[in-house]
Amino acid sequence: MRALCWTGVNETAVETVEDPRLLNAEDIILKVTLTTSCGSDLHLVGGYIPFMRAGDVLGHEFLGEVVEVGPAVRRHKVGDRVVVCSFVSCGRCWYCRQQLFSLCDNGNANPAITEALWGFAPGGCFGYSHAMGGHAGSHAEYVRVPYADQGAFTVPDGVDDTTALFASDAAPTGWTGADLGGVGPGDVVAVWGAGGVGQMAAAAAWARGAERVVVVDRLANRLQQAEQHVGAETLNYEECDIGAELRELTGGRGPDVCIEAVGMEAHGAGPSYLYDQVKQQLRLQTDRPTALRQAVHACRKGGTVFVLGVFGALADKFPLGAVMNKGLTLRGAQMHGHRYIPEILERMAAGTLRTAHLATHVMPLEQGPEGYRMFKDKEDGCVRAVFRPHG
Amino acid sequence: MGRVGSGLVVAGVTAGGMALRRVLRAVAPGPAHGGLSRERWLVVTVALPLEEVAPQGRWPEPLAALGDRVEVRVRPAPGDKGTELAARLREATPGGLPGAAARWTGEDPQQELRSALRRSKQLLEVGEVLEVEPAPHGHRTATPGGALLEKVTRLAGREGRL
Ligand SMILES: NC(=O)c1ccc[n+]([C@@H]2O[C@H](COP(=O)([O-])OP(=O)(O)OC[C@H]3O[C@@H](n4cnc5c(N)ncnc54)[C@H](O)[C@@H]3O)[C@@H](O)[C@H]2O)c1
Ligand SMILES: [Zn+2]
Ligand SMILES: [Zn+2]
Repeated sequence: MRALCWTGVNETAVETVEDPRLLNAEDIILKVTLTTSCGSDLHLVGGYIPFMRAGDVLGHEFLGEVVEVGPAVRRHKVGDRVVVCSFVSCGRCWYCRQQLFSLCDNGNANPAITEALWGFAPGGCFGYSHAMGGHAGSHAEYVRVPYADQGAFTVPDGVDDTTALFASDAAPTGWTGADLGGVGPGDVVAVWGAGGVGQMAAAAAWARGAERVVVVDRLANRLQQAEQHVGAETLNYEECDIGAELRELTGGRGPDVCIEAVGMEAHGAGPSYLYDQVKQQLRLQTDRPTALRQAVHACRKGGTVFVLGVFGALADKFPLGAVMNKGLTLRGAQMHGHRYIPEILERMAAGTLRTAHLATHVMPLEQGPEGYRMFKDKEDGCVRAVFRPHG
Repeated sequence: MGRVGSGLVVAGVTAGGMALRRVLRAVAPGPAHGGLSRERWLVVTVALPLEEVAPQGRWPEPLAALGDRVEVRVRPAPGDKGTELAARLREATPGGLPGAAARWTGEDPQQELRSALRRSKQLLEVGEVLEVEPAPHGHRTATPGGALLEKVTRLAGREGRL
């Protein structure tokens, strides 16, 4: 089959690879209908998470049709249209029972790598390097899905493919941030990053009853999407003083919940951005926490900062004093998608959650390398490059 | 940065490089497993009640297969977290260079035990052990970084902090 592979730092190529096969009794094989790039891939493709081997298949946000089922699969049959959670979780370990699915004990066959890096190993993710389990990614004609009864969800009739695609990763990631960030009625929520993840965090904040939702970015087309499709207010950090705007907007208090949906390659302005870039390039720090610092400063006393953006290891000049003295709650997570996908699909079916606008560039898989380049450079208003492996 | 070798350069210098080094350091010569005169207990918590982890005192198959070479004990975990399944080798594994060599080639008894514990936990919790190989992949350019990562990946189910 054809698959989009990582071939080296900032290089990808479409190659002919072996077809996947059933390896465990709870597996299904999916014929991939749509599979999309995600901001997380940029950290991988750019070499910031160096546990990729040349030839590894990328992709973790996808939807398709079941073509083969393992003997222990109960919930799915050949022909089902399913969307698959980007994290691989068993549903039975203690973490899964606590609904902390991305922390699953049984989804990553290579635990030593992240144990060395972080102390303990989180779960596995499709197409996300050998550190996250070495699962082949979804940018291919077919993909094998382990623990299919847990991770694959039947898409309700009436929800189109493009909408349902984002129930795989972007939407449940946003839900993870707003839900575990404790957003509730009356809250003012600020979200940094107007990519797929930031927009979905804003949508989730509304769904949890927020009073006001503000999205921060600098890319006009993305801010415009956040206004039009999510109903958020927006701020362009290149055109205003974010801290001052947020104070004005919140009666001088600051947002109750600040969600960071930017990650380790944050862009910034001024000398500290230069400092971060130089340090990151010299590998004296691995992560550029520009937006995270701003979120910590802007957050109201006793508020919550939720880190949805992916960080790899070490960040410099982290305002720990603000966290401590303002009594903040700081929390982060990879997405616990299994917990939110049913609710998200219901909202999609009811027409109360819009996601299809994120698919700004839909193309055949063969154009994958070009799609990634556009997505990385945010060229032509690219929010997500979405691939059709079967044309 | 050219294609050949870029994997190595990156692996050597980033966060991941740090982790790689730590995984490697863990297998470098030194006092055997923290310099203890006997082996440590290695422990996993299984999300099941004690009766299901060791029915009639029978150990899960991967541990039973190690026979008399290991001591095994179980106790309930606090807070409804299941059962703590602990095992240790009766005989200390060699330290120093021979020990390091055995770990690097994946022949260290401690690695065998770690792998047996992880497999036991998975068999008990989900009924089978998750496989990822063979996974579809494109052309693997031969780089030193790639070879190193392949090696580390092969050891990654047998090493770690467990
Ligand atoms: N936690 C999870 O499970 C999970 C899942 C998916 C993605 N992610 C992470 O979420 C982050 C966002 O993902 P995405 O797909 O939306 O990525 P994306 O690259 O499409 O969007 C990132 C956005 O952040 C904006 N940005 C950059 N610097 C900023 C700053 N200083 N202040 C405000 N905005 C800034 C960019 O302009 C861009 O619009 C990434 O780090 C990704 O890895 C996490
Ligand atoms: Zn993602
Ligand atoms: Zn689990």
